[in-house]
Amino acid sequence: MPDGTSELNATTLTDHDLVVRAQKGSEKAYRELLGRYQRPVFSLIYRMVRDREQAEDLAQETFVRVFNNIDRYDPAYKFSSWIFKIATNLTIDWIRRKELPTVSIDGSRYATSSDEIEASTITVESGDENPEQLLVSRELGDQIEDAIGKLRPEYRQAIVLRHIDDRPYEEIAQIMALPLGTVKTYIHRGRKELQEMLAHTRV
Amino acid sequence: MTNETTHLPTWTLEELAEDALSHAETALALEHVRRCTRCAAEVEAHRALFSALASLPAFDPSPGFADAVMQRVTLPVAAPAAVLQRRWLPRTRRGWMTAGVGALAPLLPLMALLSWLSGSGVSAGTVPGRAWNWFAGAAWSLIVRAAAAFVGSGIWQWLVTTGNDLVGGTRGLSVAAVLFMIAVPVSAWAMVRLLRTPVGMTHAH
Repeated sequence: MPDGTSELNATTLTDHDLVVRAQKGSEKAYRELLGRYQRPVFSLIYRMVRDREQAEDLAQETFVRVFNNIDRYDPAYKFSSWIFKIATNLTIDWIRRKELPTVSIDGSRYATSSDEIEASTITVESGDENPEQLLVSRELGDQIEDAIGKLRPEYRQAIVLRHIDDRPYEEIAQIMALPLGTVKTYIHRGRKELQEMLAHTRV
Repeated sequence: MTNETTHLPTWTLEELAEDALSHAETALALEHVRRCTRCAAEVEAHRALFSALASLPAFDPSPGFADAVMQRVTLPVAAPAAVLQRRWLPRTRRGWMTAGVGALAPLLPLMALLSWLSGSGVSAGTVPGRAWNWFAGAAWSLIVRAAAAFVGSGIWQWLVTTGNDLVGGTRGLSVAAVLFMIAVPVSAWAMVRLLRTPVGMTHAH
């Protein structure tokens, strides 16, 4: 099938335009949607499950489900809400099925060799910090990540969507399929727990 | 700054730190915070937490992630047929049985009709021809009767007279009729377009 976006710059299209093209079979449209959402979706899932390999599996499953059901997309909702909703449903289901221990961000708990540990270690973006600042920043970042990992899954999900992905409350309620008041309560309680856990740091 | 005896609720202080209060509420809250050490400290603590969370990095999946996803995606090459199949065909054995009974049901009266006709001396081979003749005769009769009723009602005479008065004779009436015939399909097309536009369509950006 000819690629419907071949003459167009896919990066300038809206999500809805890309979905319409994907529904017509344009692989380029699928890849552009992947490019836009793989990072936020993977980050959200990784922060929820705290395991890189599992996060990759769940993120992959999210995109496969979304793309294989692209003809069922309801344009009344934002595409981002739809994909985050599927991602969070899959992740919450997985967490419920499995007892989830808190692990360090320095590599997968499933890693059995130094190579695997290296491969599963999260690489964080750094700004123009000197080594000492970078170390302090990383330690602080790790402490915050660990604190987020200790929250109840519902609070964790709401906090990540609100404060890291910068989603509005209404969209979070839509993604989590909860009343707005409940979402606000989750975020309030999550913030309170984070502040208590991080009280000894400079945050 | 002094220590106030009453303090703002935590909800309000969080919303102040998040810039989620209305203009008037923000002004009132800031007025209190300027005078209250405890509330000011709490707002600062919230702002520090929000800022720290917002500065956390995003994580990238492995480089082969996109290809791994695309290998498992079925591109909708035969999308219209697939969608039609998924929406209209039964999915269960019970559904298929119901659909089969539904499809066969109209055959019963047809078989009964054929049986009655054969009992009346009509052979099965002549049934289509006779049915067509009956249908054509009935349709023509209906058209003739409707036209006669229309002319007999006086509406046609009134239309011709009014048309002559308004648009200047037969020629003007013809132009008006042509315009009318163009306007009807155009308005129908516009209506269909309007109805097919999804309500509340939003873009993800």
